[in-house]
Amino acid sequence: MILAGLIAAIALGAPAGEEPVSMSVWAVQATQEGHSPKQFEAGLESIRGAVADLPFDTYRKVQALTQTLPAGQETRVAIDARYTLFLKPLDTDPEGRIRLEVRVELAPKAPQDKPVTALSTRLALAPGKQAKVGGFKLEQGELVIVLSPGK
Amino acid sequence: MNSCRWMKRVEACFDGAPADPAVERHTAACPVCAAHLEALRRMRAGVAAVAVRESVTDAQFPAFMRGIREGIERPERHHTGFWAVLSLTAAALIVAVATFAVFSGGTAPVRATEVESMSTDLQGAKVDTYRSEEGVTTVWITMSKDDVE
Repeated sequence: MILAGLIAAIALGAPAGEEPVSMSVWAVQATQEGHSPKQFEAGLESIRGAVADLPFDTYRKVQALTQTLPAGQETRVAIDARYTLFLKPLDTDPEGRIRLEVRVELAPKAPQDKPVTALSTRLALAPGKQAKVGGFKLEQGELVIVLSPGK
Repeated sequence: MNSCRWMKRVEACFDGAPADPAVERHTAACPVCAAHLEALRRMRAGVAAVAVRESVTDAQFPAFMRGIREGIERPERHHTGFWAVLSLTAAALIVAVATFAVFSGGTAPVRATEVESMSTDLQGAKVDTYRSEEGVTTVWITMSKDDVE
């Protein structure tokens, strides 16, 4: 009976570090064009709250997808010709948050140069909650990437 | 401890050897042997007091036997097993809950998203983090447009 209790407790409480992680990704071009109220391209309704604090009034979709990320492996997500997103789930912390390495790479200006890591960050993402990385310069406006782990 | 060469003979008389007037005279005159003999007498009296055996008299015997019979014929407690199972179950639950608390970090609610680290390789760029009023954790890079043009 004690052994069964122990096994059950371990099975319920062990971090799911080996499991793949479902991640929703929205990459948007955010610009200031004088619109009021703010304009969101179709399919971006679910990130209104995530970008509500930003000083932009127009959001256009650059990329939107839900990807299954294998644990411990870096998954490449092409955003546009300049930026590439890399996501690597590490493990799940005791609060149930997914620890995730996020890297945004900027393509080199010259073909012979190497890509530059514009941003590298490690997040502990609460399930069902959104987080964003942004500030990446575009020809017009800035690139904002919203991340949301599956529940 | 004081000693006297007559002590062995004093002990022999004390242990029941035939009476020896010389020993008696010496014991009366020698304080060492007199004290030794007194100590031997006290020791014998103490041992005798401890070694007194309890005995059951004829008048006490019926009550004595009745007590034995009651002890033998007392019905068994059938709920002993129930309490043992209950105790074992409680112990298993405590172990399971404690183990769950250790492996799951207790019953702490899921916290907000946190930024563990952030950096950039872009020259002159700066990275900040903040949490918006909507509770959305944000990592923001301030970079030059020259980086992309």
